[in-house]
Amino acid sequence: MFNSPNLAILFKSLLAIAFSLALSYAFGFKEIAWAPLAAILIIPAQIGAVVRDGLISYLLMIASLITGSFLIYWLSPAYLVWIYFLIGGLVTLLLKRKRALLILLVLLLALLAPFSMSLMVSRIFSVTMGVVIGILIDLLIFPQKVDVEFRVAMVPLLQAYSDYFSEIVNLLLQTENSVDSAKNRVEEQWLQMPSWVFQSGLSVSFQAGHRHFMIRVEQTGEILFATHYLASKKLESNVIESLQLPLLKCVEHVKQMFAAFIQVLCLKPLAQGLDDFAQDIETIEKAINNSAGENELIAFVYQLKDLRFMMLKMAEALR
Amino acid sequence: MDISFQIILLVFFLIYFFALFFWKGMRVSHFYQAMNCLQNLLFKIYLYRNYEKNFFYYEKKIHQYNLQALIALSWNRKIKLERIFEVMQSLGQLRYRLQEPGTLEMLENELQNVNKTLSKCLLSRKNSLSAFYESIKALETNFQGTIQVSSTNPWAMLVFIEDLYHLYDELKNV
Repeated sequence: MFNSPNLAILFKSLLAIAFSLALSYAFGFKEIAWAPLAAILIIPAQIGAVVRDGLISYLLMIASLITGSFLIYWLSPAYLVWIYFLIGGLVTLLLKRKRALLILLVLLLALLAPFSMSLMVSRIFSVTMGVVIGILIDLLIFPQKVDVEFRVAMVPLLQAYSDYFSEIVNLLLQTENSVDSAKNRVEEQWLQMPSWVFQSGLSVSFQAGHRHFMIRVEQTGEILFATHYLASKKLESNVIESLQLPLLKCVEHVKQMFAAFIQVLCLKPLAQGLDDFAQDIETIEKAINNSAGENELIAFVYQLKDLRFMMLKMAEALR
Repeated sequence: MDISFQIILLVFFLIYFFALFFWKGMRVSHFYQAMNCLQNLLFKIYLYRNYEKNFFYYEKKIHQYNLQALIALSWNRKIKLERIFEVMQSLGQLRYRLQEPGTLEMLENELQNVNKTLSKCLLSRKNSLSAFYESIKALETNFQGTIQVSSTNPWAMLVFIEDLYHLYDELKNV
């Protein structure tokens, strides 16, 4: 129904607010805002680990709520501000953004009302109810498909790699290129990589293969960045001209391989067999060795060999 | 303290921490910190020689530092920083290129020295550049003098040393 994940999150959040408000009224809680607040702080939970992530957030919320209530009881208002500042500084330094903001928000709200045991207990019940509603809605309404999320994130990255490599070769051959914009696209896609495959809480069988594939994809990116650096050194070698043909052939083969990975990730059958580019690398290496090529060019061949090695590892991880 | 003033102050602090969270990832110094963490980790891999055993741990950390650096880079698009990032990626390739732990073992002292001086360079920039250069020279001399002859894959280490010189050049030009 919703193609955009943000729309799905918005819909889930609105549904969670509506449910928790209705139930807060029905149960007659003293403050009706706590349940919806807890519910929307849970959504969206970490992909593939909704219950675990929800429970950690729940424990942090309860701890912040109880701490806030007792601070109000024990300390005069003048100290509270500075204690809040101190706690805020610590969690900002030590915790991840989502968790720290959750603690700061709940603590602030807990500090804004005078202490009362019955109020605190009522708030704990409200938060518990909100968290249960949040987790259930996150699990049941438009449930996250971990495998799909992973594949959807990987396809544009591999496409960006393919374009980037061909632009790097254009840069090396000193022909017209748009290597910087290709690089920017790779960097943007790197920031979108599904880092959650490294988090604990995912199913072990899913995590092992996908994490391995992502590591190989990232290492391929490292090779491309390093290759870009070498290609950006203005080489005055005469060898470059003689490298043109084998390099362009190599680009074709690399593009073919990336296209094949994309097809597999899109669950489409492979249209044709794949040509390895080991032969191209050998030709390039021979041309460089025969003309006593510069160190940068020899290092460039090394990068090509690494790229081939890593692409084979990616293929191995895909199987 | 007046209660309304207290509330205003609390809300101000909340906004301040929200802003701090977003701002701290954007600074140039955050880029250098991430690069320093990355190089420390890479040298840890080379010095402890336990990459295969702790493969996922190391790769997860490398992923985190790369992302931190890229976030800072996306807010500070400077060609010099981009080049430092690229060379640092190249330095990391030794972890799967060199299959002889013996070579790294024999160069332990020199690698430690490069690690220390590079760390100082990244955190205090120009001040320690000459020490960094000297440490690369010492690594190169020791490798070319003795170990290169016995190594089955000397190019992996030579490319690594070349990358260190590139990094020195890039840091010099910042």
